[in-house]
Amino acid sequence: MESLGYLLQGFETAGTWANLLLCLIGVTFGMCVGVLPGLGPTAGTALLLPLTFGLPPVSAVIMLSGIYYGAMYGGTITSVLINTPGESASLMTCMDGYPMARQGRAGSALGIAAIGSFIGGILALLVLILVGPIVAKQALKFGPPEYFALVVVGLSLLIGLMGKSLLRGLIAALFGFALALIGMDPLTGTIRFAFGMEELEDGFEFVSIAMGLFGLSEIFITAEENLNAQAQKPPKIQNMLPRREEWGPSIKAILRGSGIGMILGLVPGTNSVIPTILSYTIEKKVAKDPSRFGKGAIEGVAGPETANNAYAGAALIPLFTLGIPSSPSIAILLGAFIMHGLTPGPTLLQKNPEFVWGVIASMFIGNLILLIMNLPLANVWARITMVPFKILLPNVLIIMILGAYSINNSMFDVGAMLAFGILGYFMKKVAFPLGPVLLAFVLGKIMETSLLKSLTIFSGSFIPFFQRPISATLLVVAFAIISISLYFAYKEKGIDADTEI
Amino acid sequence: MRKTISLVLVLLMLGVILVGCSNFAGKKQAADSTYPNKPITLIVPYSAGGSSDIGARLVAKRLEQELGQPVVVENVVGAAGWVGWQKLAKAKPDGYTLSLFTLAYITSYLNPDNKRDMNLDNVTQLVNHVWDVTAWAVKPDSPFKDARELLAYVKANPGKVTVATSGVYTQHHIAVLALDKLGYKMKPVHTNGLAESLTMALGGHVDVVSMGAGDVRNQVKEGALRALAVLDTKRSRFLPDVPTFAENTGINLNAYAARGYVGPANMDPAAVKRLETAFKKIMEDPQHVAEMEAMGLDVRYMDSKAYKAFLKQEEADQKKALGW
Repeated sequence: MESLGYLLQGFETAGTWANLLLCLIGVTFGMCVGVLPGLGPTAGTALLLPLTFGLPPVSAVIMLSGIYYGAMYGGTITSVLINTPGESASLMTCMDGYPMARQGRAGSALGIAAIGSFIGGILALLVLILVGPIVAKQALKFGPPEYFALVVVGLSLLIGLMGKSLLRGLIAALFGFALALIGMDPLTGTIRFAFGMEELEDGFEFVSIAMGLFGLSEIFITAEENLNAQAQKPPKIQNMLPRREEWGPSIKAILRGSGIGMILGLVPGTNSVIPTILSYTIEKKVAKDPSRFGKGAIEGVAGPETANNAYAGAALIPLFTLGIPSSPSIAILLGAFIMHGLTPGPTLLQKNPEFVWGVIASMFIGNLILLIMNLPLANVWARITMVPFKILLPNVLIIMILGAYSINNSMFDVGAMLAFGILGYFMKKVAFPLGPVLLAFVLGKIMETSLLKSLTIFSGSFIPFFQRPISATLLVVAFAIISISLYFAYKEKGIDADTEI
Repeated sequence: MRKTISLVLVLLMLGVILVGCSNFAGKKQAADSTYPNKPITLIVPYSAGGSSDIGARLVAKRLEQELGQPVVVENVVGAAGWVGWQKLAKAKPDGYTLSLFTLAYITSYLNPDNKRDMNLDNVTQLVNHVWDVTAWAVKPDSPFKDARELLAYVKANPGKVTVATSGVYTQHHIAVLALDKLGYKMKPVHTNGLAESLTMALGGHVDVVSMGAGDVRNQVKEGALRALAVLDTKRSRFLPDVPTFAENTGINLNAYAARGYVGPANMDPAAVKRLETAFKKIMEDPQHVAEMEAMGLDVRYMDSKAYKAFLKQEEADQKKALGW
């Protein structure tokens, strides 16, 4: 109850005109940054950081954190409209968001994503207020062995999602793993598979692979259909709100997504892609008709989007309570705290309650602003799908090239994106699923480093993985998931016959 | 009639070209005497938003005021900084392209696997700026009271004690390797940076954590971690109560991230001088020192000559520790 009183005080701080304006600027800028592929929230926060020097600390952090969660909203838009995830967190949104857009339901997809993001964000904040400090300590039990086990669970879920052809899915996933190996070995510093190219020493960028495989290949396919005059007419725009019968499952998906996102957000250092895969898989499993997934099931957008935003909100808990930034963008927020003379950590809540509660209250307001902004905007964005392809595609291509260039200011990433686009085109032609490539790429890196770190700590023994309760449980869960998926694949030759990610 | 007009036009054009030439030449002359007279590019070989980048942007902002010309920060990322430094080395040594410089440059070319074709002679050292000293810390309930106890235990149990370094071949790792050479074998666990090191230390997944003194000071102040030693020749002002490694053990173990600024090789001495003065003025400004201190970074000015000598020494030290 004490917290509630503080929170009301916080609203007083956050509700001043100046702070409201800064919050608005922050979330709007964040959304723009999220929409532009390549320019992520990390760079966005970094660019605005020097501008905040003259501001009081609470106002500065209100604006900067606005960029952070605003970008989470923006990332959805490109995933749905042009099948291009700007960051790994919105990867799963492409699976059903883009098919929805092709059916003229981009508005519904964006609408439910905004609603889900709002609910997920708010619930995560409530958790932050109520139990944050208590749980954050527990989350520290997650060491490298636990991360490894968690990633193994994530990957085992991937098998369940492969659908039509397990073999093709596994080949695609292996290809993703192979891509993840390129670059510096995290243990010995040896450069692998760079073939003497300096640009490859850091490995491929997620964004250039994602834009190429997902977005660019889609452009090629659409262009080809247009040439063959088989293209469908641009779809008629439908209502931006979900259909009546979709509300029930959507709300449930949102609540489940919030739970998943919050729990994983508490663990510092997990990748935001894991909660989204988890949410997507669960939605598919509990759905009455799993075959709709991959063809525009609204729960497939609602769940992962919510999980992503709940994750983003909950990821602030380790920052506020322990002073640990759990992602690069949060690390910049940490920098902002310190620069303004605040010490994130166990005593921040006691020493600077007006600051902490002011920022938390501003996040309630910011999430509300984003919801209000995004619901009407969903329809505006959705109209983009009505633009004739011959005008839309070249423009999208330009934006993608700019996006790929802006990752590192390097033409190499542009070339990589184009190459992956061509590869993605052929993979689509021969019905190789693209999702496993990207997911294995993202998870493969974490899996490798956490495995190597664990083995260093355990002096090369695998047994301690099963002696630590959390990692043992997770590994058993992963084993169970794999066996069940394989059993179904064998027995029924594809319960999920038509769905692919 | 038409002929005359053409002739006049041609003459006029020739005249304009001549004037243009002379103007250009005149400007160039002026350029030498009044460096700088156009915008300066500052290459930051790391991604936007990291602590190196933010530190460089703080300097760029002040350099602009000092020199009266815009200073544009350009993030040229790749191969742990090498792509950016290559771009610098290819730039004209006219003082309009500068770069942030770190000790990782030396590690990068010393590593025979990397097959780099540049060394310290391919850049002109300008000034050193940041001095980020390493501290070793443990959980409060750790059995090690100080660095001496730790070393005694390591000696008796080689390869048992884990230490979180912020990545392979970082200053944290090199210090562990240097200790290895002296017969104290610890087990480095390479994290992907500050946040992970901190998590692993607080969660008790490693025995010791090696971090920047400025980064660990808050956890130490709040009692979440206990600092054992500072790896420098003198104590850090971020942890004034913590002894140096040598004070405790008699072993000179030093680890720090020193970040400075360089230009391409064979830079015009006049420009070097001008930049030295400008940087010096910035680093002596108490407001700038306070800004950097807030980020947990110390400012240590070295002029061009001192910086060069320091880097040469660092090259020798790294060679010894890494055995390359």
